[in-house]
Amino acid sequence: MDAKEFTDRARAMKPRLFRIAYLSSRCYQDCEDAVQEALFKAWRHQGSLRENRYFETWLVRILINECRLIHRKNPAGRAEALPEDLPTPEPADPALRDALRGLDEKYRAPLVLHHLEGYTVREVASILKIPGTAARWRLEQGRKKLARALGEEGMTR
Amino acid sequence: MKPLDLRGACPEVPARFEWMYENALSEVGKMQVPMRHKTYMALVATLIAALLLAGLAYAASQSRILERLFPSGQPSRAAEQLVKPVETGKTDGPYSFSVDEYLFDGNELYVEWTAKSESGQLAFFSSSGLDSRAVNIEQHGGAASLGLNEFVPLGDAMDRAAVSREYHGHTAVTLPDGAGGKPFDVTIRGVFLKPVAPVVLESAIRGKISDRPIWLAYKGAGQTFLEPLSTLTLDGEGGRSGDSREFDPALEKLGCPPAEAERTAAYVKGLTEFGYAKLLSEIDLTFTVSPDAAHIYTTEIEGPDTFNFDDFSIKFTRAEFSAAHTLVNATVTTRGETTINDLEKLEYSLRADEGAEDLRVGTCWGIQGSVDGPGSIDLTFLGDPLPEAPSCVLLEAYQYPNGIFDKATDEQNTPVRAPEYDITLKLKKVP
Repeated sequence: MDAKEFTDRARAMKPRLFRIAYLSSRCYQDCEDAVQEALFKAWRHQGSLRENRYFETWLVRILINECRLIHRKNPAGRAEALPEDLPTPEPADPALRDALRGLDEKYRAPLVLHHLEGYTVREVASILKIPGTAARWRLEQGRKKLARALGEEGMTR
Repeated sequence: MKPLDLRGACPEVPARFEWMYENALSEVGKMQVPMRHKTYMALVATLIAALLLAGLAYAASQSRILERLFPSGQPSRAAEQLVKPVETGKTDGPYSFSVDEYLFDGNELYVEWTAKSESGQLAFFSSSGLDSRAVNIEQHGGAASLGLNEFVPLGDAMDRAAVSREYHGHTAVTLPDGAGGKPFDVTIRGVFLKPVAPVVLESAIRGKISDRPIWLAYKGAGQTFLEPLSTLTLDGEGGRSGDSREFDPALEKLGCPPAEAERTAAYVKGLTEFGYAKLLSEIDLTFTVSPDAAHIYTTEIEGPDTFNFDDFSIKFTRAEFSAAHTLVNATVTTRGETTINDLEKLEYSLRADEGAEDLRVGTCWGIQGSVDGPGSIDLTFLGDPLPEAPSCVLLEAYQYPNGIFDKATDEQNTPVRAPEYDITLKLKKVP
């Protein structure tokens, strides 16, 4: 894959990578760092991509691993370091964001990939390298845990 | 169950993120992609070996199942014996669907089939999984299986490119409880559709936006595949900056009925009702799988199945090496002050018998507990079958300083041999 194809395909994934990193990170700065590092790693290690058709899921997997690494290096997260003239972006439903971020990563990632990004259960399993049955189970458990975190009525949102 | 809407959890992509992203992409173009000499030589050697072995394999067997299962061209005698011809097929007008052969090794069932269209018009084809009233089946969708959310074109040109009138496909499932040695019937459904929604080539998507059903066409391994998508947003122009593609949530909801037949029917109904396609033909094929007890075998653990180390213990529950699959299950549990995070540095390389080559296995993890505390990890090793049942399996331990999740993309994360964690699992062959 040449640089043009890589950048074209990666550019098409910009909103998706943002959302995944945003919900997988403890703070906005970590989100940016994770996406930037994932792009660099994907480009440097594109030899590990067996087929170009899997580019999207492959890049998402690298990003999730990068979020996991950043979290492991600094489990508590860091203070937001945005300059004052660049306010931290807020979603329409901050409570939903906080509830998702509060979930264990093994539940949050399948929920975000399936219910927000539209990946099939099989694709979720492939991205997270877990069996399909495990992906389905984590989705079910994740829904329950999210419902508990939000209050049952929150699931109708 | 109401669909879960998580869109409110994220803000719009901020301008500073856009700026960072474009900067990163511009940097990408200036970076060299490293290719190690060792990797290059290994690639050349692999290509030469593959070319030689592919020729030998083709000469040794015409079975497509064996070619898929044993890419090295060395199927076991037992695996060869387990391949059974079926040659059951039906024709509906210009469309035909046939099951050609199967291989059942006691737990895994592999089926090869062929779909054909003699029509001069373009048709999209996909198959269901396998259904049985007699045995418990888990659809596992191996990499070569065609899922219902993937179709192949048949019968005519598509966007001026020639399309084959025939497609040889493959479906693999697991019988977790086996078949008890008794014959059982399975059913598979072939679906031929006439596309109604426009077909969009992945290679030509830039600059177009669609928010109605489309078929996205993409290439993989020399074959064109098609996916039904509800919206396709291809770039940020035109006032819309969204995903590159989205599966239809209405179709996704239909993907969950427990029985394969219901799932297939619901999915196809959805595709027709939501404007993706018109149904041309559905062909159900039922055939009998007869377990060949004389050639079915697997392995069981003989002797110790639990190994205790200072910082963790590992208990093996299965180590199956059959004529057509390799499966090892284990649970790793932390001990003392060890956390799940510490265990994520450990990886085992599997080898059957002393002196053998490393097994090609994929590893699945299921973490129980918080990553920052004590807990356990369910490990599953899934691999290519071996020509013979081994008498033992050697697990050689490696430690990745930054954890195994980043091993493929972190050059600094070099594994270190950790022989103190090596394990030898003794096996016995059982019928």
